[in-house]
Amino acid sequence: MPPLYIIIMAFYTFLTAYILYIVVSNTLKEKNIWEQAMAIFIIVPLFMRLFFIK
Amino acid sequence: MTVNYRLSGWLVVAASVLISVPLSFSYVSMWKDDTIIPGLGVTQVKWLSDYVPELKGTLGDTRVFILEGKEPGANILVLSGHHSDEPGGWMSGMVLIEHARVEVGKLVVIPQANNSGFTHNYPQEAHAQSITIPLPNGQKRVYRHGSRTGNSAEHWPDPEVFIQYPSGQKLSGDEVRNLNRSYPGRIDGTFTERTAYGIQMVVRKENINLQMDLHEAQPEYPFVNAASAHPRAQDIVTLASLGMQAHGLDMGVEVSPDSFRGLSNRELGDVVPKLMAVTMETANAEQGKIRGITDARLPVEGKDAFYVAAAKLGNLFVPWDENGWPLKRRVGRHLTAFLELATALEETEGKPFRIEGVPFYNEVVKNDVGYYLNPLPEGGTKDTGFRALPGIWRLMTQE
Repeated sequence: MPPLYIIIMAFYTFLTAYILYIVVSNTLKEKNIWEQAMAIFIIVPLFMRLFFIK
Repeated sequence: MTVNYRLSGWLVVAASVLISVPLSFSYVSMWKDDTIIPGLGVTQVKWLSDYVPELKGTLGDTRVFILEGKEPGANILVLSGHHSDEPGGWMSGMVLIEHARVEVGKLVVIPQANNSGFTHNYPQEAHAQSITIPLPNGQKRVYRHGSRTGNSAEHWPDPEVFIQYPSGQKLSGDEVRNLNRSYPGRIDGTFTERTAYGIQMVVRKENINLQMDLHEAQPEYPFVNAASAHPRAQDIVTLASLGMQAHGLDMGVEVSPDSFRGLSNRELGDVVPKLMAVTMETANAEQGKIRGITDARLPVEGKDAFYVAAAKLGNLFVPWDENGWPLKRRVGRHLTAFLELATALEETEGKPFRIEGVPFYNEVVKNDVGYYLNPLPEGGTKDTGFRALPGIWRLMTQE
């Protein structure tokens, strides 16, 4: 049984990846270039969270 | 003009990833130890894990510098970096390590007591990740500028309420990562309590007579430019305060209240027989809540227009003008108080302590802090890599 911390962080990582998937797919569907650009502010912290901040 | 929104969307995603890469490297760089170049006075460099082996391989492990004199005398411990965003405290510790030589007695310095706090900072407070100190030879020394509490990745999750051990005093949940609320510590406690226990073991095993804990506080806070002492240390801190007057420095004095638990001076003074324990605070605009522009210069230069205005309205507990409270003044205060406390210890307890190379307030103000730091070796310093990792990375890599 892995430590509880790793289990919870695994869930967090899955959740982060899912939110990123939603944000990126909405960015690709968006028809307003400024709204697309605003996605940078969401994707950057979530991307860092996905890989480093644990 | 027809815009290909799918292409622009992918460009946004690619730009986000490109921005994330340097930011991630910047974030991870805080996990590496700062460069400290011990001066000739340092006779031994140990680690907290030499006193409590359970800390080895964790971010709680930190360096312990010992400066031993030729003759026995008073044993003094200087703690700094309990709060890693208070550079006036930990830079004073760095100056002692890099510039002091003990002739009689023993000086133990733990400059980054809460090493875990140095591995992350408070971006939402606009705090810089590092501060830069210029040296007289043109070089620059860079130090991490961390946060008040330890890295949440080592301590996750914070409880709703932090119940301090052993008092049972209730504090806000994030204070569970505050080293200066976790004393006396315990070996099987939280991450921060284990670090506090390590420092208690340093006090016990090195037979410390006088312990000083160096901090900074907001200028609008009543307890600033002041010292708080364990009841046993009332006499020496009062004597030191009188000694400070000779340098034109006011230092308020109070006895650490019995009802405010977890502090280094209160708890270690209670559990270690005969220990004189003192905590000191200088004024740092960066700590304050009414500050203006917050950047890497503020903690070093200490100038803030909002504090000038607040001083004119009489809302501060320290004198403040356009020159502010730069790092050199705060370090000068701490070092002068250190010397005066050592003198007071000898006068009251008869334990001699002789030290060279520690400047008084006027000297630090004249020469600036970089004058008392050692130059970097030619060719730069070697990258020591990651000694310890936080959170999930440690759990996945430790043996």
